[in-house]
Amino acid sequence: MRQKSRQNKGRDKGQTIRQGTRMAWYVILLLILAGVLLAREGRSQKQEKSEEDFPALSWIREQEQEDVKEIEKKLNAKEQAEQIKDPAKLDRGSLKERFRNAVLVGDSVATGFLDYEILDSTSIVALRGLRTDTAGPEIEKALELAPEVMFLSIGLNDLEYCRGDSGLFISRYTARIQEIREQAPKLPIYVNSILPVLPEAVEKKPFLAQVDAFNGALESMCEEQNLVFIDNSQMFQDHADWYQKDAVHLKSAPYPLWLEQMEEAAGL
Amino acid sequence: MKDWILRIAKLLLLVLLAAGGLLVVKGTARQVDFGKLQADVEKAMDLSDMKQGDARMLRRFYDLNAGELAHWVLYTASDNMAVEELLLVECASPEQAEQVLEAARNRKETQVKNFEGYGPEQVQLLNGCVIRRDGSYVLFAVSDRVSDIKKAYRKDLFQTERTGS
Amino acid sequence: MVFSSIVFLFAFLPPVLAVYYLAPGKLRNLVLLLASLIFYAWGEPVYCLLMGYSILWNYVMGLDIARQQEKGKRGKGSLALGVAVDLLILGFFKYYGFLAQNLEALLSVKLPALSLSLPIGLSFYTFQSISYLADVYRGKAKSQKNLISFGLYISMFPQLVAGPIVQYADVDAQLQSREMSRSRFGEGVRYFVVGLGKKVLLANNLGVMYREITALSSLSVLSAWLGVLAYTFQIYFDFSGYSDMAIGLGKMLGFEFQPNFRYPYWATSVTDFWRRWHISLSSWFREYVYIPLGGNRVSTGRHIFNLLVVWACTGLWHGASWNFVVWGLYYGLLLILEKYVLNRLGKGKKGKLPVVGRFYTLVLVMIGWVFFFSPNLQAAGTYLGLLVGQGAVGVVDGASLYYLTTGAVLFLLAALGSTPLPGALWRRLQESDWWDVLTVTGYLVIFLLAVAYLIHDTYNPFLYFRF
Repeated sequence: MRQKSRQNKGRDKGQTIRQGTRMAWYVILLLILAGVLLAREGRSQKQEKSEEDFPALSWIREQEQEDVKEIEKKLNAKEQAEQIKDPAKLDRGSLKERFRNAVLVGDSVATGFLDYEILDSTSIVALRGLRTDTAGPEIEKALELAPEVMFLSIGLNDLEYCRGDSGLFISRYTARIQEIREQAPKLPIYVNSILPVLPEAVEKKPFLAQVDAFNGALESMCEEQNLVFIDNSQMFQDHADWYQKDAVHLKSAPYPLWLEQMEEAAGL
Repeated sequence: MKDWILRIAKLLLLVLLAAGGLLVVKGTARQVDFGKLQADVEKAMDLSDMKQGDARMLRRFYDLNAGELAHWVLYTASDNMAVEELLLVECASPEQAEQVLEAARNRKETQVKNFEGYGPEQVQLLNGCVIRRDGSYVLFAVSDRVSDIKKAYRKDLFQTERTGS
Repeated sequence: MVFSSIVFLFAFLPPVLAVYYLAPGKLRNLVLLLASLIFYAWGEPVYCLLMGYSILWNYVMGLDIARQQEKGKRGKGSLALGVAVDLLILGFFKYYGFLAQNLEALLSVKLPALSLSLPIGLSFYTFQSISYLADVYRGKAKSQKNLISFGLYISMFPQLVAGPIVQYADVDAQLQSREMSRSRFGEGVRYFVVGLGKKVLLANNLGVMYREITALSSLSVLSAWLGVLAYTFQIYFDFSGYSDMAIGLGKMLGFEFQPNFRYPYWATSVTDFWRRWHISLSSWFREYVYIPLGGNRVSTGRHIFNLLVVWACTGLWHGASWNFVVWGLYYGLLLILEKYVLNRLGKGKKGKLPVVGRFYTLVLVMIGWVFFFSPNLQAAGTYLGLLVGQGAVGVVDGASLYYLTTGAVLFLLAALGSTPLPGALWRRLQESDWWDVLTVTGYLVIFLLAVAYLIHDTYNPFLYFRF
């Protein structure tokens, strides 16, 4: 036993223990505080994680191969155009590959690309209920993915919210285009027409009758803004079998065709 | 005085033990042949417009490792706006079954969030789902035929049909 | 609810402690009982009823034994009935499947195949109940007339779920009155924080390594050994950590429990090992099975028999599977060997070379763990083969080197932590002026690290939970 050193320090055990337990009390108080803070942080962290669907990716471009690839793409596009439009015959793998450097921003119809696993989350930013006035954050996310081509598929929900006022729709859409141009002036933008819906849907929701009218306005806007307008209406004629029960959303079949249509338009 | 209080107490408790024992045995799921269970549950469900899921889907939707489960089957709706779903699992242990149950609960909550304010019919269907664990078995079914499915499931697990272990 | 969880640490414990200390002395047992019931019901609402039943049953039977003895009888019948029902409940939930399997294999008798789950803590509180009845029977303690106090003994949340197994006589007096002082509370906090650190910082990470290694499709000899080593440390820090937390919580509430671990991997023989590992369990078996059977005050043959019975039961208590029974008997045989063979051979010699003893003990213990973690006897055999090269892909391979290098620090910490050396260093530091600052900082660091891990990690198993 180190009697000497204890005596030398001039402390007795009782005092040491008292000090120690006082410390223990302070520790406990501190811990409770720390714990509350940490627990709250932990909970919000978990929330953040679920929103993190879009990792930042960077692609390495093989510059030397560019020209060859351009020619290849054009040849591919021509081949595809000459083939019969049978979804089953399309090569999904190559479709996804060609869309690698592109991003589509769209609403609930576009989410089908993700749900049916036609595209990866690196090529699409889709949100149910997306409208021209709320699309800002999604466009931000898309731009963060550093795409070389941008596709837009917005408007279905605007039909309801703009109450048939196509002018309002176009002015909001134009604002979004401006935002993109400010941040990425050289980024080519392609605008999809609003996909057609079946008559049954129009019966339930009369505002859906405006699809053609809104598409007309959209086409004019594209002319003015010097953008490419992708008219998808032809593709869906006589294909009631492509629609789900709600007569608005689509089954998996048409998505590869729609994707191919977009790729053709952009020369991917 | 004290003697017969004790005697009655002992008797009561023993009766309670027996009764409890019966209840537990009745209320505990049997270990059954998974193939039969699966077939019976599938029969009760409307599998048109549904596609069978593979291990990748199981991980994607439930964050579960298929290799750790004893037996399982998964069906999801073919259409992305539909929420019909069936997950039937026999786990390696009741403890694992608790984790699977938790995973199923999370899946249901995620789906509800996906369709909240957007698809009231889907949300309703989801909220009417059956989600339960019995011993090592877990059932999660979203369908308008939930009561039939529940019946088929319970019939196999809680009757005295002994189909071997 | 688990001690090593955010819910327990921040949502359950502080309010319970607050209410406990604010409550008048007479109500404290009630407060604790209610808190324990909530604690248990949190995870197992249905089985809380089962525990309630067990409390009532043993309470009544304790009174019954006492009554019998008042009347001049021994009370053996009551003891037998009480213990029988306790064992019946434990046997049903824990061993039904095992029994059914073996009956079918041996006698082709088919019992209905039930998919039963084991109520958490059943093995622990059943043994505590039996301890109570036996202690009352033998006169070591008076029967508990207060249902609340008795209920508290059975269900007290610090040791309900994973021990230590507290014998009734040890805690009888404390149920009535216990000293609650600031120094004891502080000690309790220290124990708790150390236990938490052991569990979350060491055991959980070792567990990840163990899991990864055993998931490899092919193992080299080194990998196999690393796997066993990881498990060896994991189970020690896991279990002793939890015991430390339990003892710490007990102190915070004014209870003094016996230590459950005393640096088991520092043991110099298998006999010594079992005086340091899961002390409360081996004590229980010695007190309530070994000694009643005659202990060692019988013929050699009977002594060996007693030992084998006790160790087979010890193994079986850990799990309803033959590999656990083998594990238990393995130790039984080793202990018999040590007692009758080695001791006679090397009388006095062993004391001079503790290092040899420690090495020999560690190797044997590690082999024992192979039986413990393997799902069945076959797997155990396969793994043992791997340890000596049978079925392995070479002695060393890429994977094994990877785990060796990435796990080196963890293993080093684990090895250090298994020895009494840090404790001795701690005591030395107590002499210095810096003690207060050092200790507080040290505990705070451990605690915050552990909490950080708990928040970010999802893998937080507790191995002794399935008992």
